[in-house]
Amino acid sequence: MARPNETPIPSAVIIGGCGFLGTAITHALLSKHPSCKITAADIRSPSTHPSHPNITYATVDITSLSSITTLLETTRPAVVFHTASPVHGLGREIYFKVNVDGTRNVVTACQTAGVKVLVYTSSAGVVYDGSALVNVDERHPFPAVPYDAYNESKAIGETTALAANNTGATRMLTTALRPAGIFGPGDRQLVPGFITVVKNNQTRFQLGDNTNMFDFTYIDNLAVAHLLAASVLLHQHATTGATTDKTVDQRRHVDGTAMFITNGQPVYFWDFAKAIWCHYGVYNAGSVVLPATLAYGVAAVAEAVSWCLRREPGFTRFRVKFSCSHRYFDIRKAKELLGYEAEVSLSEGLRRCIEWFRAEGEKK
Amino acid sequence: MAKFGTIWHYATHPYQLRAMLHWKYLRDPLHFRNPDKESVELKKCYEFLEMTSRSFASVILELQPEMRTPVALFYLVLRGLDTIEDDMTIPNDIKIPILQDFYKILETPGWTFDGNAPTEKDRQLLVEFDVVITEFAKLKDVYKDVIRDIAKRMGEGMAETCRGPAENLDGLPLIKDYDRYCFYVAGLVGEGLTRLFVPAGVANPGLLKRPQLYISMGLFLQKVNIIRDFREDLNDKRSFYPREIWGKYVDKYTDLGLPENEEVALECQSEMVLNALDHGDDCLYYLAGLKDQSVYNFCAIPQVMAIATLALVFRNPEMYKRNIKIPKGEACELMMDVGNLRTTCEIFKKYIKIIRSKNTPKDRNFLEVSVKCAKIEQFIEGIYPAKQQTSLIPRSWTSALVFFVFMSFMLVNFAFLTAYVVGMKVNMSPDVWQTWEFFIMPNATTTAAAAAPVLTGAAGHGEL
Repeated sequence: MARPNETPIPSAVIIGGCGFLGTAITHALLSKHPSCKITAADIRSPSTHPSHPNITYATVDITSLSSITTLLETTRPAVVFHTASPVHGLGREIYFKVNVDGTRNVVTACQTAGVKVLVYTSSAGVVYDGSALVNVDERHPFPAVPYDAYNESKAIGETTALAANNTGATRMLTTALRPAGIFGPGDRQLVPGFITVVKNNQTRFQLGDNTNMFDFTYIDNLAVAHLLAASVLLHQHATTGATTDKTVDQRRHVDGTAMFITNGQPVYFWDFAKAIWCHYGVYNAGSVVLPATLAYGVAAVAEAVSWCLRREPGFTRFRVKFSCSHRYFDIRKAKELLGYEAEVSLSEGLRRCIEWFRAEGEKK
Repeated sequence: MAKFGTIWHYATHPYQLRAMLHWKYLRDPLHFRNPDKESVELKKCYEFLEMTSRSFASVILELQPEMRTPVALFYLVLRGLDTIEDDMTIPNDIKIPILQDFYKILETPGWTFDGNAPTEKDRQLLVEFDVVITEFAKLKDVYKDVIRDIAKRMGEGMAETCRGPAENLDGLPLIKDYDRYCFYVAGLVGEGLTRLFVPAGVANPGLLKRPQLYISMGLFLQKVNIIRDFREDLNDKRSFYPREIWGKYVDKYTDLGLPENEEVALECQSEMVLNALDHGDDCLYYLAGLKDQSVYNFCAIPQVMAIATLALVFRNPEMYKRNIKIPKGEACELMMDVGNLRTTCEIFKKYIKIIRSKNTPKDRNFLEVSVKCAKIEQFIEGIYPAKQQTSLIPRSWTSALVFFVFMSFMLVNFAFLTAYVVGMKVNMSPDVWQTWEFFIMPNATTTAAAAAPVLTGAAGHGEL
């Protein structure tokens, strides 16, 4: 008998299906579940995406309940992957509209359309309160005061999705995955940030003593984690159904709970940066070490100056804190319950990612 | 020169010198042997132990009484096997049957062997091997079964190696073969020891259910030795680095030792270190399962020596030129500090830090090495969570405010001081200068009295 995490996924709707993660999930489904009927739904219509007999593209606006309901009623998928989320830096209103209201709409539509499994893409940031995250696992609570509007809206979205476990006509099962530091080909945030530092010729500065460990996730590994979660839940849906016993430790079951997903290879922050930079011929990065406290002070001054000059500050206290504190997770839950293992290692992922950026650069 | 180097080392590492003296003169061993109660043969066995082993004898002798004799005899049996295998003067048609039947020899009273070359340093052990057999017969059955079984399997593994070419300057083919070789010479020892410890109640029975842990204990030690002994093995026309690794860096194994290949040889070395480091967290996990202090020391001391050696050889070109070793003082320091799992973890962290400090982006294994170091640190964090990181960064506005006020205070002070020192003409009241004189030149009050009017005059009115 096949293992639960190999349960075939017959049909799936990917919300945010043309985004960074949605595209990766589509590709993973094509290769691991060749008979799956895939609907990639996104707010924009796709420009250049693979055409394949098993993929249908649809436009959907999750802030409209009727739009998402129509989509799910017509496609009637077994599994919904909800990966849609606005990019950082858009503002509180849009975050809440998409992550909170949008997720509520998705949940409602899933309940009425008889979806069996909903996998919600959350974020490891939901447990961030501004201080270090050291080997954090799923017991770590949400912070009393959310760090920012984005993480707050993601946490509410996650709670909404998980609360829908064992509801609806088909007793739908739900789970939430919390990835940290996603990167890969098509990444517009993480790796480009490091590349900008090379272009600005600022690689000689290292903030802090580089003892802080950081978790990253290669996009394809995250996509595979989504499939594993869906398969495990489909198996559970067909056999035992939802975990109703409230005394069971939340780290012992998938349904109705969240779990962290990373590459499982935390690494020292500046070592990751140096590994990127050496692809650009910089081998002596970090020769000037600024102590964290000093850097924080300088950043405060820089922010004040930028504020006076009405300019967007490049060097901020947040960036100092971000690059000087621990931020890594214990992903044993995902390893044990999903049988998840990063297929693409950190260095291999980085190599592929840089290769893609090179090719992109040449196109332009 | 070497002498001067040694003196310089201990002059700059006084703690190691202290550890060395302490180890030698002041330490109380955990357990003592009582030679009066021992048979003539057993005494002879312990003599052999001290003769054949440099590093293991002291830790074996300090084992608790129940474990001491079985472990010592286990060691001598393996040493006997090794002495036969290593001796290139024994023809294969004599050597292979002895290796394969060694477990039967253990049950053959009076068996001795004098076919070793006179130059073989442990030859005497086999010449008088009957004493080991006599004492082996007195062991509890459960220990005998374990030792016999390991001797049988190791003998088979060694026989297989002997059938291969006597001289090998190509290394082992694949990483798989490298692991297999290390399993036969060291992983099996880990298994045997664990099977001796568990029935004696000095180790958690769970260790037997996780073969990966005890295999890693052996593999870690063996791999570190193989990496370090590159030059020595090459001189003996032997090589164990897997081609799957060194083949990425050079075309011919012996090229690794050439000075012009130093840079690629260092990268090959870091991949070898990376491969060995993979066992690090398993070793710590294993150590967590031991229940007796003397057994813990016996197992942990070789492991901390191994991580220290790994840190020493990592990206060290000297390793390809000569046989390098950790200084005696450092070894004593490690033996003294090994204590318990927590302190052992601290030692691991210390050497991980050294490895990291030598890691460089120029090396194609840079990120992999960093990931592996972090993996061990994460494992340690999992068993001994560090107290919440004390951040140097102000956490709240209050502390930021205090910081700001303090900095402004310092800035103002600094400005005043500068002004005073360079005698800048600042327009300020005479009181300020008097305050400064009071603090800065308390012993110069008499002269200050005379100087003050001049200064204040200068400060107050001397602009033109």
